[in-house]
Amino acid sequence: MARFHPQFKKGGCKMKKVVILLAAIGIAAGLGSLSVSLAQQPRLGIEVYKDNPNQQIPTTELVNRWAKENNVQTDITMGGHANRLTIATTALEGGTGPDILMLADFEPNLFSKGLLDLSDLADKIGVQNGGWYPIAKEIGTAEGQWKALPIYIYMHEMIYRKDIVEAIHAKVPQTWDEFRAVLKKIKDAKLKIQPFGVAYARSFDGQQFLISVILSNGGEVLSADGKRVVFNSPETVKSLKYVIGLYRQGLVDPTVPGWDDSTNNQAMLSERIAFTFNSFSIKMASEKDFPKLDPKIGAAVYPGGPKGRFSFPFTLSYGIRKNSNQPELAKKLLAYLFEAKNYQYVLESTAGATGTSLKGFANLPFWAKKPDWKANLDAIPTARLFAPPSAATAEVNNSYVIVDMIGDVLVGGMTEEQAVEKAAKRMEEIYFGKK
Amino acid sequence: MDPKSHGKKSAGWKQIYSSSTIFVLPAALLVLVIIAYPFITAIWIGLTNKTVAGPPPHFIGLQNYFTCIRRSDFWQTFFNTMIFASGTLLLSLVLGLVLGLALNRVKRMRDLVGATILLPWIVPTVISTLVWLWMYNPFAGVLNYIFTTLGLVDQPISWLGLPRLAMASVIIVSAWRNIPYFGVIILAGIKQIPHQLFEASQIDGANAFQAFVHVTLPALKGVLFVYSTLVFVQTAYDFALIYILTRGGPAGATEVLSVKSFMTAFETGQMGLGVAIPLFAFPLFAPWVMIVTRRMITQWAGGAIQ
Repeated sequence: MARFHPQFKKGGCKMKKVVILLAAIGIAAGLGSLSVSLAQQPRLGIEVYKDNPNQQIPTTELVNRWAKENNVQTDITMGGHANRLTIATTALEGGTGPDILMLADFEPNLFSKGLLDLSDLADKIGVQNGGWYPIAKEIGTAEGQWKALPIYIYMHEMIYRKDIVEAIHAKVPQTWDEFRAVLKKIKDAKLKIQPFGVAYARSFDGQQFLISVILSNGGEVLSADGKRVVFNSPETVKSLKYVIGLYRQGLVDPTVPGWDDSTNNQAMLSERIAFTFNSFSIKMASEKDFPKLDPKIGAAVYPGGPKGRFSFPFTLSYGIRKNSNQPELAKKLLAYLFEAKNYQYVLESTAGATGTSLKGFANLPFWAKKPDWKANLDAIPTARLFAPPSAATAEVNNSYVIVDMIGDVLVGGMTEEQAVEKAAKRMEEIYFGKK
Repeated sequence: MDPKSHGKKSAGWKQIYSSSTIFVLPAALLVLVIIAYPFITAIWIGLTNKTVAGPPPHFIGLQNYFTCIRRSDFWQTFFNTMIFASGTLLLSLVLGLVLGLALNRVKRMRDLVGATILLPWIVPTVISTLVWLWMYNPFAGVLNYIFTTLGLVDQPISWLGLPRLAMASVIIVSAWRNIPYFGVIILAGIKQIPHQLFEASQIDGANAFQAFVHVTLPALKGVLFVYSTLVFVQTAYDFALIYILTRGGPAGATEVLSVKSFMTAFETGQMGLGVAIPLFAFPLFAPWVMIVTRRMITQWAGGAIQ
């Protein structure tokens, strides 16, 4: 070991201090320049939606790539089903948080006053990508302006057991009459499975199912001019009787009045039911965690009625808050995310589970790879809202006014006519403030 | 009395009074910021037509409250809230009393037992409620598994699907959370009762039940009154439990004011109306809470709550 002269040691101590001082100056300078460069970079916040198909992974990658290319500091906020609404309302009211928000269903309309007009961008994206699907335009516009750009259309579909349908020598039902006939066949075959199950209680799945039946039978919530509630009609009563009839004929799992949005997923994956109506999450879960069951599970477009086939979807759209400090930059990022190659990248990463809002993506080769997954695409033209987007429509939807009719009849002791009358009365209160 | 000395004395008191004001001021300001500001803001919003991200709100007086009253489903929601809070309180009170008395009999490891029993109260509501949701699951839940395995029922019970049963089910979960709290509070109350009172009742020939009725219960009256009020008000405004278990269903049978308020304010953006919904119950609760608070302050000042 080298031995140092004490004087040198003393000098070494000084040297050490000098080195430490220089290092500290260096670090401080480095941090200073970093903070200067960060301060020079514009800052932009975006909310990225985190859900089953993991679309947040390719989206985050794209956002980071764009940020690097454009020398922008991006703050990514992960939003999900539980916190999305809180993020949106806080940002819109407080002017803090993400500049680009993820808005669901009727929210672009609900919060339209706080959102930037994106009409120029929407028109450009539409022209470049074969045009928007009608449902996308309906969701994204408010008072003639595009207030949000719908990106994910999660269709509600008929999820069924292929092997059971084959076992009873039936075909996938195309109409509601055929649907009931298939359920009856399953029941009569005395297979150890309940023919059908979806929440007959407060849930979005149950409500989406009932709305689809009502719309396909010609029932409507509002008149064509939007000035009257026309829900109390023979078509609505007929639809409710059909849904209640399935239960009373023993074609539905007897426990459905106590189900919620997750129970039908559990029931399908535990092989308790042969048919349900749900988003694509059941198929995704079966592919991931139930390899033996997965080939037996199919997905198809909703059956239809006299007025056609309709499905009430769940949609997600990007909107920019009006009080953003970086509106142009936010638009630029949205334009980038909607560039054909980038949108296609997200769609392919999720195998199409998220659905698409632009017609130009309907012909991509990946849709042909998995026939069951193509139901997400095939169902998009059937997408329809039960009434024009508005705060009142959102309240009817979120207060479960429509699906509550099932409970009113099954457990509340009302007739179908009384339940429809009660729902119509509530709608009049909500839409027009009537007594 | 020497006028000079009196002057000195009053000057001293003035000094003490002003310095005590200074000491209390930060805490008072904190209370104002944390409690009074949000509360006053909420009352103000309830008197406006405020919407999320909407135009500047306008004062509309009591219109939101009249809208509440006029709506056909409001009174059901209001009565649901009262039933939910009363049911929870009653069940918690009775079983909490039993628990408190039982804990009083425990001789060994009372601290450990007490801490273990408090677990339901400590676990976050969201977590424990999700566990209950799974237990109530119509076909995969443990309750139906036990009932069907024991042959007590032929078909699984739809715990959250039938109106009265759903209300009973949510009350059970709510009471399950509060029973340990009551138990421990009652145990603390029992410990403060002078043992001479029990000895005297024994000498007078009272049996255990008579001692409970004539000694324990009167002594616990104050504690029970205060904590019952707090639990009732807290339960009446409970949101997470019902939102997770039923979302207010079936057909509105378990919809309470807090759930309706959330749906109206956030899911439909009508902030003014949404805020007015829970405030509707405020005039009912306020006098009761004021009496309790006054009682607490006066009795704490004079010793333990009796």
